[in-house]
Amino acid sequence: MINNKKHTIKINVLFCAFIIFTMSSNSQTINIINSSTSVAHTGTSDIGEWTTLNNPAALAYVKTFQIGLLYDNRFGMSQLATKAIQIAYPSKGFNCATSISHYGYSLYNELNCGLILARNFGDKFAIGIQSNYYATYFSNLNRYLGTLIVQFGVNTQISPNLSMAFHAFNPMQLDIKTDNSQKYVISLFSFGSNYSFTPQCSWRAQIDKQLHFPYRIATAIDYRVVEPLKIKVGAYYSQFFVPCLGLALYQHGFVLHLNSEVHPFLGITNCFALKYNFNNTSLTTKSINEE
Amino acid sequence: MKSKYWLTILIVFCNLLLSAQNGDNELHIFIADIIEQYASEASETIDVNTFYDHLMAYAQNPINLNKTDKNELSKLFFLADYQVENILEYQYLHGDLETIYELRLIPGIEKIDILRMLPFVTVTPKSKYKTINFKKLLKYSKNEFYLSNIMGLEQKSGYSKQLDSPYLGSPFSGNFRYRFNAKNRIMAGCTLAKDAGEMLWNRDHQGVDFVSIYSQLNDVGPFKKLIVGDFQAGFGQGLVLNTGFSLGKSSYVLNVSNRTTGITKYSSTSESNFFRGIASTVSVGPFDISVFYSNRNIDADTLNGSFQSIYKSGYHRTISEIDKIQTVNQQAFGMDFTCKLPYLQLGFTSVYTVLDHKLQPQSSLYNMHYFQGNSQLNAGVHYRAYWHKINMFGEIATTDQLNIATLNGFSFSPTSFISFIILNRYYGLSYDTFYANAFCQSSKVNDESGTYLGWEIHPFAKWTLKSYVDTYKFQWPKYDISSPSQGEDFLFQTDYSHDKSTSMYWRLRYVSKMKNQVSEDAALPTVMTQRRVSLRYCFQTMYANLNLKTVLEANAVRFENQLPTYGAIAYQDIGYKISKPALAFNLRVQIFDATDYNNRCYAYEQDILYAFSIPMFYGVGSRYYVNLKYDYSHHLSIWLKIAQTCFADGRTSSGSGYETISGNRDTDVKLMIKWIL
Repeated sequence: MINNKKHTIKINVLFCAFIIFTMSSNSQTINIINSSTSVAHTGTSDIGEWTTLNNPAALAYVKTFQIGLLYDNRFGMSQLATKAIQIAYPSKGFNCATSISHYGYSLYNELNCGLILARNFGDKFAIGIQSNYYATYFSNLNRYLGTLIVQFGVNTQISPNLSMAFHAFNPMQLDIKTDNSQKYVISLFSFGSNYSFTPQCSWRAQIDKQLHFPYRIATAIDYRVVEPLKIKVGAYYSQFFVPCLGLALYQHGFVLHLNSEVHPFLGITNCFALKYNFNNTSLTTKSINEE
Repeated sequence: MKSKYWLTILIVFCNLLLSAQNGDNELHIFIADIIEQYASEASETIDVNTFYDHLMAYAQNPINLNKTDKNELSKLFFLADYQVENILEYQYLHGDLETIYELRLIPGIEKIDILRMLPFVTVTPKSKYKTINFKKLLKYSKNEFYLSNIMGLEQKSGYSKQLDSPYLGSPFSGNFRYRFNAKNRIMAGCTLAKDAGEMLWNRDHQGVDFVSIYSQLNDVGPFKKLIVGDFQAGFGQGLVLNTGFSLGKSSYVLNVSNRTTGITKYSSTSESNFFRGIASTVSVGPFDISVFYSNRNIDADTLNGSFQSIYKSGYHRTISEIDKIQTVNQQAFGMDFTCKLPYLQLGFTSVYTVLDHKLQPQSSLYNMHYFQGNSQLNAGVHYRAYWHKINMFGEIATTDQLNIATLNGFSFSPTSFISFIILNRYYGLSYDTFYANAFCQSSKVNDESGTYLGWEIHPFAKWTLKSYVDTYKFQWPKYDISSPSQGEDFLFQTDYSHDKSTSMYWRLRYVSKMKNQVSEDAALPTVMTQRRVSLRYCFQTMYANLNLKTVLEANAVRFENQLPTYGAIAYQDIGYKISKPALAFNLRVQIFDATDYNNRCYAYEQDILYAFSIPMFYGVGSRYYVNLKYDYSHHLSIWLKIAQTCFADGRTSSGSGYETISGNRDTDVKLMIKWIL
């Protein structure tokens, strides 16, 4: 019985190691950075939705007190899931938020606590900064080691329909060092644009460069079919073509995002996010755009 | 420790966010923008101190458009020749300008030009322009002191005591400047500079490595200018003489004819390209007569009464570099005689140089036509004429060996929304002089012929299209090109100015040139054509005291019969200013990805005052910097810049030779203090 359990753990560990390695080679969205609620990870320029560890400038556009839960399940494996909770509080001077996220399983996991500040400058542009305490569990040391990582983002409204955004995660390339090993923390730079054809329909394009890895090009279209439903279609390419599909449901202040993507080798990744906007039961992308 | 560091940054950022206030944008943003237009396409670092000095001087004492001349307006480098002529013609035909915005009525002056001019010009009726006596001049004079320190945090291999010839001095570098200015009529100053690795004080070396002193009087007695000390000189198109800033190919496609400024004080920390002695300009009617004499020792590697080349870097860090200090005496006698008429300017420039050692370049194929000897006489005739919206300019020059160089061109603006310029140059195979600095492709005014065509169109409001094409030929091998060669250079840029605060441009550049390629199975390098295409997008916007800038650039380089290689650079700038406390900061986050050296990218960086950096990037990595300026009072200002480059391509060291740094990070800290009395 014990032998069987050990064997199962060994297989799980080996499989996870393989998946992590493959993800590192093929995708930009590894480890602690969870998927954004924008399909195809095009959240850099999406001012309608702020998700922790994505562009913090999007927080500047949050109009109501908001609480959100996120579960990002990669390739159907609970060991590769990111769980996050985020709370956003808008105020007159600037918007602030906090978040906690956890990635991994007992033998390998990462923990991130974030404090986010963002300010909207006359709706012409917004700047946000997120300070993260990022910790990784080192099983050989049997303890967590961490560092402070900064990410910041900018979103600029070029015209009423067109915006452009920049987001950098860990631009200083800080990492975690122990006496015997070094844990690289990813450095990710993203440029994105968002074009709104109508208040209901917008198109986003994004290019990401994670140092050490190839570029990632992504695009997505959101269409608000009816008031409570938005359909999201997108795709990204970084060595492999990955199609993505998602929907968002809006009801009485609740927003539920369901996003999926299909990696040609690794399988399906699903992201579920539930947000609740206090004091506003009908907060919509449309109203944000109109404001 | 790291936690405290980031916490401090976070607190500062929060304070800045909370303290947002309205206000004017700083002058340096304008100047940086103008300099970047030149620098962003430059392949090597250019000394823009003179350029910066002129603009800062005019910012402090703006040009009165009702009492100006061509020479003065030409120092606003961002104005094209035809724009300068149009301003002067308008003023001549319609009298004094009532307001600065009357400039909008002048053909060829666009809104963006007026915005660029605003900090540097003023409009005052001539009648109100009073002559200032000497006492008042002294009363309104300014004494400025600048002290700057630059330090790399990582130790370079040259400072290791284990090596045979390490740097003798400390890694600290810095300079001190003193400036006295009385309404641009009396100017004086001194500059002391020490480079990193140079000794400051010991038995063999007393004091800083470079000392420069100047004093300049303007409009005193018969003298239009009188300079004692260090000075620069530039006349005509620079074929004979131009030791200052030279306009080259840039996105200001119409501004290629040189704006030489006659004689002017030298206040840079660069240790070459200046004269030391006495110079004066006298105006007699329409004639300007300039004469100068210079006597200074220059750095060179002498051997048996001769030397191979002039050592211009100014570094004296190792024993071999110290051996080159001021080993050759150079005397120069020069004069320029220029006649300035309303529509014609005609001048004659001559300079005679004597060296106490013979210049004898090392024998190589590429430099066998270079100048050899102890003395050289160089003379030329330059002209500039304006006739029916056609601006003609040029110069023809010769050495005492009758080696010819000539540059001729004209610009034409048939309507207010279209302008173009054509420039043709021919520099002889053996035309090699000490002080020539004119429009050319290579680093020397020598062995080159080519034609440049540039044009600019304003098809719609807010839009500008501009482009240039330059084709050139070298009839003899050049350094790193082992055969006669040719090349083309093409630029196309579209500018869009949404309003006063928001603008963007797209720039396409194509360069085709020949270059040596060394292959493993060939004994000699093969000359191949290298083609480089680069595309750049820049977006800038300002809101209240905040300014943002985003730049994306990608390039592809391909040699004949080889696969192309790619490079990219992208950065985001954020600038912010608050008035209480008087603090301004500029932050950049940058990424670069150019694994091949041929794909290297350049990016202009804002810096501390009087420092300009256009670092080159290749490899994969990121860079960030924070630039802070704090005005403690009207008298005291402090600049601080912290910059770090982090490589992510697995390298364990960066730099080369004694400049090698172990590790993948390179950090610089710069500090400057300015004190005004």
